[in-house]
Amino acid sequence: MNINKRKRYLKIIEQHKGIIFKVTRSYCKSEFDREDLAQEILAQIWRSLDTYNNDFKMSTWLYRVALNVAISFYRKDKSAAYKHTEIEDKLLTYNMDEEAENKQSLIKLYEFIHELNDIDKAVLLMYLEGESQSEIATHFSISVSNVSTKINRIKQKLKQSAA
Amino acid sequence: MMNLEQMQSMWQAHSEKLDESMSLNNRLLKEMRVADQKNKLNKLVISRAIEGFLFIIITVFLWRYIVSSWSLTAPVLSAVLLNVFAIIGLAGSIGQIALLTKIDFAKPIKETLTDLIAVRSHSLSIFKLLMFSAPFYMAYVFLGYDMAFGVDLFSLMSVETKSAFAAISVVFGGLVALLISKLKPENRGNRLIDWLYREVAGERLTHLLDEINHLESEKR
Repeated sequence: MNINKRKRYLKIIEQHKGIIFKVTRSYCKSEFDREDLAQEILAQIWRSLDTYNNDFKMSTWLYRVALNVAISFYRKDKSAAYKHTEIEDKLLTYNMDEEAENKQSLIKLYEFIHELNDIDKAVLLMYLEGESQSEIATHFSISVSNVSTKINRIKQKLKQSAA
Repeated sequence: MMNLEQMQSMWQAHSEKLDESMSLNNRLLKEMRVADQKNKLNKLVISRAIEGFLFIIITVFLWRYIVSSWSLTAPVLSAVLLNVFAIIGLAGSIGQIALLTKIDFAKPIKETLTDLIAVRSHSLSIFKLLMFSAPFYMAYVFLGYDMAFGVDLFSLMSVETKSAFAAISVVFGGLVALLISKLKPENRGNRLIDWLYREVAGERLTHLLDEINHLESEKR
């Protein structure tokens, strides 16, 4: 096992663990699936680390890997059958109470993200991270006009859900 | 509900809080990389390798038969025909292994989705291969009879029987050609095609196809 790679990997994950939390929280409703998806993302990051291209910011590259895994991830949680089951040993632990003043808005924001299809979720997450439309288009390998259409559609849905 | 710009500033604050207060279970993280060896894509590579190995056995077996029984008879021609299907199957398995080793989740999302769709379409390709071989069902019978009983069934059949089997094969071939020509993602609106996609290729493929449709769709 490459010790340098391992050290580098652990350091990167420690620095950017928030990305994994946000992606898994956005894509999965159940704790089980979040845990499963987190493991899948972490495994893919380990695999892809050798091909990391320095032209990308590490956070941007991680987002791309995480979103690719999340979009292709086959979720079992179409129903909320095991929504309330607790997992004792979690990879990522975060208490939303840390954000007391924003907690309710944040929960609503994640609920809104859950209503979107997987592609629109990814577009919204990148937009919220401050990526420009042309950067988003590059990450998806689609046209800027297509990205613009998707953002407008998300805005429309946001208006509808507020009404 | 807030607007997108308000969401963006809340998201930034959320990100900062996460970086400060979220804890990562390092023990699980270290254990997890061992589990990576059993990753789903690795399992697919192994299953494609086993499948490829089976096709190699069939190909070798049929070649040995062809060489040992060489003459212009129906069983030998049947073996040649079935060998062609086995070689196509073998090429498909090798292609899948090459594709699986190339899959890179750091590529742009559309490219990764396209590669994954090609991987998940494999069972559908095997299904198509089997369907294409179905009109030649008599090839299996001729070969089986010769191998089991040493009898060239074709030479014993009357002209009427041969004509009847040929007619069935032609009709069957037409139906198969029609089905295969319709077996495309854009025809999933058709109930039979949709059912075949779900039952043969599985929900993982239909999920990926739905996502690439969402990605390419520019509908407002």
